[in-house]
Amino acid sequence: MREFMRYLACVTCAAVATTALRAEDGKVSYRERTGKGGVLTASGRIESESLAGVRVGGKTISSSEIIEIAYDVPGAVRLDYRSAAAETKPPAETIKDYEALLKLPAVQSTKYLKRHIEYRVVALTAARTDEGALQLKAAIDAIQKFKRENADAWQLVPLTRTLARLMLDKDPPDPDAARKAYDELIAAPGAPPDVKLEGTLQVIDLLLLSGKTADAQARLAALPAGDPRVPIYQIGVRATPDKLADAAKQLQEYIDKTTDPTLKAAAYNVLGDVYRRDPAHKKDALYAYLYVDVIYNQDAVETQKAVARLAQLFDEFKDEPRAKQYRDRLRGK
Amino acid sequence: MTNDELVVAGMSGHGVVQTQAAPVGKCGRRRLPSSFVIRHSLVIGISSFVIFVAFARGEEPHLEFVRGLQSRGMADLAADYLQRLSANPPANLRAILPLEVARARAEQAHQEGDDKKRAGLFAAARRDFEAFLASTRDAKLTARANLELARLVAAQGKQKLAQARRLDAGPPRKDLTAQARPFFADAARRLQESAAQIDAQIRGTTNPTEQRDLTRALAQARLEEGINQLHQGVAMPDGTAAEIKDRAAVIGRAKETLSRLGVQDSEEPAGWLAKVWAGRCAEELDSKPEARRSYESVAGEKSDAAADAARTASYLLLRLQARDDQVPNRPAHIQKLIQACDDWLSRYKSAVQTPDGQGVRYVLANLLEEQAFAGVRRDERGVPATLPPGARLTLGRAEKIYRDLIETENEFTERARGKRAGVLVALMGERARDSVVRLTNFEECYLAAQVAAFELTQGRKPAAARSALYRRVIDSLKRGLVLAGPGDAPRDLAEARVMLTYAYLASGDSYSAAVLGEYLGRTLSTSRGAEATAYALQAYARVIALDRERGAPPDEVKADQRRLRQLAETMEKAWPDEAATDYARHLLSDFLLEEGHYVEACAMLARIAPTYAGFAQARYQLGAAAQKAQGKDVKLTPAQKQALLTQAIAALEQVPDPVPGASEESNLAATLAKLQLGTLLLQRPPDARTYDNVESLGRRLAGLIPKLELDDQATPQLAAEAAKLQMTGSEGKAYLHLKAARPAEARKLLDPIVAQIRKELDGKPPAHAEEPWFESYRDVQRQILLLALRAGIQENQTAAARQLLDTLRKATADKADLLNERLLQVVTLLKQDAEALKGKSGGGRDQLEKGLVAFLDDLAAPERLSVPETRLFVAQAYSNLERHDKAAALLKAFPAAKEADDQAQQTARYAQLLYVRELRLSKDFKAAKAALQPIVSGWGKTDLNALREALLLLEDEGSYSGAVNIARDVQQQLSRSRLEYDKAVLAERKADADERRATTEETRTAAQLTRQAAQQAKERALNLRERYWEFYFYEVRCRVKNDLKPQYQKERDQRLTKNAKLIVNLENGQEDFGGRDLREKYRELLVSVPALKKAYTDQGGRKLFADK
Repeated sequence: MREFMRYLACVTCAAVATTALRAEDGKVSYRERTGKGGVLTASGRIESESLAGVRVGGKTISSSEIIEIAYDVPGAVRLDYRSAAAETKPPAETIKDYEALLKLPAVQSTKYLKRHIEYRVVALTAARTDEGALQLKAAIDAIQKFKRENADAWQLVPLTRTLARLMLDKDPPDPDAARKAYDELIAAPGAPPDVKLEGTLQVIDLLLLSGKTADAQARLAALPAGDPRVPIYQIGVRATPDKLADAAKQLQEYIDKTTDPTLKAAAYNVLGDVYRRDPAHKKDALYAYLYVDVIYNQDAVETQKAVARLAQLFDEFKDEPRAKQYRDRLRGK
Repeated sequence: MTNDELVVAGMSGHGVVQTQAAPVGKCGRRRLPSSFVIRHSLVIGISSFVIFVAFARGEEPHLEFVRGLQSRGMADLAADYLQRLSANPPANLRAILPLEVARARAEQAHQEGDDKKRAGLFAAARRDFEAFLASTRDAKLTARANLELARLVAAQGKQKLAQARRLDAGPPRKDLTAQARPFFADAARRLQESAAQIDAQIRGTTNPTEQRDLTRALAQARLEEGINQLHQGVAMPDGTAAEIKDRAAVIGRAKETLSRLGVQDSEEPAGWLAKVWAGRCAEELDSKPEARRSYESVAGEKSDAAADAARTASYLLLRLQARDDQVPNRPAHIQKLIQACDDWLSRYKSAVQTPDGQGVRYVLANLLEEQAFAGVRRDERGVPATLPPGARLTLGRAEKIYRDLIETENEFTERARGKRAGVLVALMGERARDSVVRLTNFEECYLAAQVAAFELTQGRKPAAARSALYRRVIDSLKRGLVLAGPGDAPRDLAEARVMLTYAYLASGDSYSAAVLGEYLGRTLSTSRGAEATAYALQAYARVIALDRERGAPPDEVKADQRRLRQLAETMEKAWPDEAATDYARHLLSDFLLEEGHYVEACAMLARIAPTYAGFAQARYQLGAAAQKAQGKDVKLTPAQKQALLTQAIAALEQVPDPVPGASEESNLAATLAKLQLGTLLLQRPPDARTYDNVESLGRRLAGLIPKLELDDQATPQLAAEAAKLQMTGSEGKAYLHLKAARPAEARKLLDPIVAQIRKELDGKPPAHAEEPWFESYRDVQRQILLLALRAGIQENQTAAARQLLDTLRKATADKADLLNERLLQVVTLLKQDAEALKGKSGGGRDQLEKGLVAFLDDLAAPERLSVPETRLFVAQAYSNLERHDKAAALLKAFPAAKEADDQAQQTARYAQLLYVRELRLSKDFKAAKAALQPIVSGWGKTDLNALREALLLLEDEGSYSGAVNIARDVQQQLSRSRLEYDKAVLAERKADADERRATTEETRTAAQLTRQAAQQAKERALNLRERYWEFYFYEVRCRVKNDLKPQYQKERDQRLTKNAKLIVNLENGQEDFGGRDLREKYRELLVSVPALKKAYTDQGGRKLFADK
């Protein structure tokens, strides 16, 4: 009996120690950009978090690839945290649940968890922008505040994408502000090269969207020549109105030639952009973006780009249910 | 299990392969919606080879892309993508692309929520499959395409059945159920065929991969067969004990098929699904425990192969359990099932919008409703008196689920609508009956209106009660729309306005309905706008009917008609794809038909979809319009007329045959449409295929009509019409044989019909024999007998011909004239046939003439000539055969008529004149004169026919001056009629010009009246005017003949020129040369005298040879 009591005591102590030890442990879901694509997870102690990414179990995951982190939290808040993190309720209610969690000492004392919950609150605020202009402004303000207060958070990468989208959702759209958001990210200390590259490509997209071809060309010229996406964008940038068919042909040839799904996605998106400039080829643009959404969706950034374009195109085609479906996806619904 | 739900789940539930879509969002991989997986299980199996080839060649994965689009609910884009790809197909897809397009269309149809569009897509996919099958020679693809086509046909049947189940019991429901049956029968046949083809392929291959794919396809085909059999059973009538027994037998067979498949292979999804469907058969057969065991055995299964089956089984199990009211503790049972439904919806999130998911939500809402109402006291009307807060909350949840189900068009929409209204009644309680002025906001008013609308649907109500409820609906909605604010959903406001339009219409306030509906049509761009416009159209139609009832001035009716027409035209332009627009098309076509715009009317009617309630009627009208358009007075080119005919035939072929068990109205429309089809087919250039089609159509209808529940008076007439079609088809085929000198073949076809006619004539006359329409049936019989007679004569079958003549006499009964007229036609036709054989080798002409004369000689035997009409006929027939001596001999002995018998007197006089004519034609002028003398000095003194015979006798004798004198005498007597006619023509022309110049209504009316009077005068003088010019012609002819006499050789040309001038003057003054046949007679005269023709041309004559 004594032996048994000793055993029980040991087990209890071990459990308590494990709980304390694993407070900053977690599971990171991330996209695998290379290879077949898809979603992978890495579990273990979260050693560090920064704008560059998250180091978990000895492996660094780039901030541009992270989808979500599920933290192991103390037993006292575990159930509440899990319930909130499932995000099954409407955004407004989930925000309330998160805000209640933020008041708990167990969360306040855990830096990364606290910051992540704050990020989710901001992200969910942004998911409510279809409720009206006031909510849009609230979301933009919330993101700007998070950026100011968490200059080194990996969450700045997804939030910059969101901010840029919200700027374009404004009436009238504000592509300059969207571009500024990316430029700030590119310039942020500690921003990793892949984030910088992605940001620059987004800026080029926005410049093209505003018709600033020369600026886009200049930004493109500044990119490392070895990046395989550069030639794709070069075709897009050079596609003047009289050379759209030629550009489309070159992009199609590129698509046929490459086997890398990420590059195919980039090429299809640029192809869609080229087609979109000609009203007679809007349907072709639609299929180009759909190829990214349906088949070559390994790269979240390209996919997100295609989804945004599809929302606009369906809107132009007066297909409101589908436009809404794609808008909802952009908002993470 | 009710039929309704059987169909609901039947739209999904049979699938095979699990597959994964590309990674999406933070949830990682997403499974394809089950319904997609189900439908494409087979397709994926078939296409894997193609996809592999695509990748290997570096092509884009087109088919994978297409599947991806379909899985995202974008089947329309998938079909469009393939269609675009077809313009320049990749080499590796070229062979299968048409099949893929057909599949994509079929998938698009499955995903389409609108019944009309879905029906159209099914039809298009079916055409594509059929076209592919007609063009491919690949046995493997053929088998698979057959299977796909069979599934599609079954789906078409299921759609009909599902539509039927949404309706309350009544004729429309009966119709749709009956219409579903032929689809299931067709699908069954096709499924059997494709299964046999796949089976043969399995035996013919040694490739294991191919064998596996084919085996899977075979299992799928067997599964489909079983499911289809079940639906066949469900669609069968169950009104009598025998019907119930038959129905159970069919479902029992389906169960056996499915059970056999279910035990075969646990690795195959088809096997698991078969188990579920076997359970459903058991449920349909009221074997609940067995059904439950089947569902339970699958619902708990964890293997991948059983995933889809498990999901469907757990839904069916929930539904079965929810109906179990024998459980000891029902409240606890309900609570448990509510939890289970919630679990299902949480576990199968992606299936929430599928038919299974909708079913679970419907079950859940029912359970919540039951739980909330448990123990709640109700008032005398059955309405809950008070609701405790807990029950109110539960009911609120049920109401929300019902509302969600109503949002989309699905199998539960109608039932959920009714249920929701009941819940609203409970939730609103007394407030629903409160004074409208006490309702404080739009939401309350809208709910109150819905409650009142719900009460309207609950049982039969006295007119006053209905009127009061409509008043309440209207008052609530009007108040609600006044109180509406920015917080109220625009969608609800629009719904309320459309509801108000309907309430106005239903309550008899047509003007308000018309105005509001028209306004909503202009402002709402959604399908609700189309619905409102349709109400407005109905309202205008009612206003016009009321206008007519109260004898409103024509201008007022015209104004309403103009508004109705404009609105219908707007609707046709604004909502071409909305089902409600078909009503507008039907109205518009009525206008177009009334105006004689047949082409436009046909085009409009052709746009009406098969889903329209009056589809068959619309198609019938289309056929009738096309038929009218063939008339001589319709100004269309022959090509346009032909195109219209072709269009109408194609449109009528789309109308399904009438179906035993369907409602009287729909069967009547379908029967009429099919009869119209037969009529139009007969207007095409005659060929054996057309006659075959007409014959088989008539036979089919004749077989169906006695089985249809039609009006007792209509049935015999429709049966007679169908029999007429069948006989006409046979007659046409026989006629073609006769024309091709195959009388024996013709008789082979006609003999059985002749035997049937004899049987009918020998029997008791039918009750409807005196009906006017029956005469046309008899007439077709006579035509058959005459054709048989013609064949008999051609074959020199005198005895048979005599028998036929006897039968003909019976068939003409008291219509001896008619008989003779028809017989003469036969003789004339045979004579023409004989002429046509002139110069041809083989002695056909001689044989024919011999047969004809033999027939007449047989008729001329003294014992058969006791009937004067027969004697007259035989004489005429001899005359036609140029046997004038024989004719004269018969007519000489023509019996004198009794004084009092006017008819006989007429016949006798006719025979006397004919006798003179025959003597004249046999050149016995002396005898002819002797016979004519008593006539012209007696009854024929003023008879134009007698005078003409006198003239012709003189002419034939060469006494031209005498003949000219008679002609002039007659002209003098008739000159007044001629002048009256000419005067009337001038008056008519002037009235036309006056009308064109008229600037006021008064002068226009005056001109119209003058023209009417002129036309009547013309009509009166017409006959005698023609006789005048006839005798003028005889005069001219006699003058010409006289001028050709040798004694006038020298001045012949001069004399002929004078006569030619007469002709030219005539053609300048009388456009028609004075009468119907006179132009031809003048032409013959000129042709026979070339010098006269030359003189005519020299004098400027041209009309007689203008078209030569």
